[in-house]
Amino acid sequence: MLRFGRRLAFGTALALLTLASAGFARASVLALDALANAQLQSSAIPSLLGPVNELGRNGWQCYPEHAAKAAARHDAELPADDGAP
Amino acid sequence: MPPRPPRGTTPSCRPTTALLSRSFVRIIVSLAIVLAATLPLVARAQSYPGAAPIPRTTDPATLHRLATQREIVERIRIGFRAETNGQWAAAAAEFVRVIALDPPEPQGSTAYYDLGNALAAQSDYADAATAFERAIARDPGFLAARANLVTVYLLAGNVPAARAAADAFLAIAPDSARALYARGITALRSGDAPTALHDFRALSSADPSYAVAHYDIAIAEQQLGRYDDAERELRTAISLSTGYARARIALGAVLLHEGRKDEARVAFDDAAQSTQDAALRTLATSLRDAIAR
Repeated sequence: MLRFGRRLAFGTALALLTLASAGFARASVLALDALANAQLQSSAIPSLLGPVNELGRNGWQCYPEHAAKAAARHDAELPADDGAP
Repeated sequence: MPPRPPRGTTPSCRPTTALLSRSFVRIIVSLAIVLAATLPLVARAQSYPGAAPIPRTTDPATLHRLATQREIVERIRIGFRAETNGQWAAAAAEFVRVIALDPPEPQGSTAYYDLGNALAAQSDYADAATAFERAIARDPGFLAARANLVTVYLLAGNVPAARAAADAFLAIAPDSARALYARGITALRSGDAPTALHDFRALSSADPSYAVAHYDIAIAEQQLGRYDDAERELRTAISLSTGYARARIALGAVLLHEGRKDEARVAFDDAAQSTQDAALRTLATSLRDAIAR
């Protein structure tokens, strides 16, 4: 009877351990997936355009206004090709 | 027989030369006198105004108005120089004073715009946004102010306000690369993947070599659950910019989601190798090492 009890206890413990391991493994995979998915973010916020002088935005050398208006991304002061702002 | 001329002279030229040289000297002297006399008149005839025109009035109200105009222009110049040198607090003080003088356009919108920049640089995003809004209220066509308004709302984490500002910016400047980018970013951050996809595709059509546009298209595709398309766009971004570590990490995440662990591990490893950014390198290494073999 005692031997049977020991076997039962051992079997139960083994089953619980297996279940726990599987649970931990699954949780670990889910956590990794969640961590990886968290990296799927949009690119950087565009930097602020610089100051405007006393001539105002219509000055021919108003670079911030030209950057805001530009159709070409190289003139628009957007984040660089490696994603750096 | 005519008398012989004195020795050493030639009656045909010597007296004439002396006469001519004396006349020439007289002409030169006369010209110099005339020029000296007319020089002040010539100088006065110049049409260029001075840096600070002398007021031609004694009326106190007019003099006060001229002095105020002069102060507005000078303070904007000083503030502009301070901003260029990164002296944000000093710049902000100048623009606050300019605004108190109730400047006309374009100095009014300029002062608010520059104040917004100075405040944003000091992380005062709420007041910066208010300043940009006032610049736009004074001059609705001020695109730089509209662009910076989107940026400060995003920096403040106020995505709905950023989205509204970006919509208005794009409506007034539909060809602007900056407006497309601003609206695309705010759409992605607010979960509006179809709009983001539209804007970044437009940006990418205008310049297919822009790796960041492909990256953002991939993020939008991932948000729509289209992982194959996301993977393709990320590979395009990486081929256009091999040092784009953030794109390599995103590729690893997409591959991991699809259960392609070995390829994901390679992507994270490539990301760690391709960047000098310590935070990105640590992140990529941690993700690589966390994948069970």
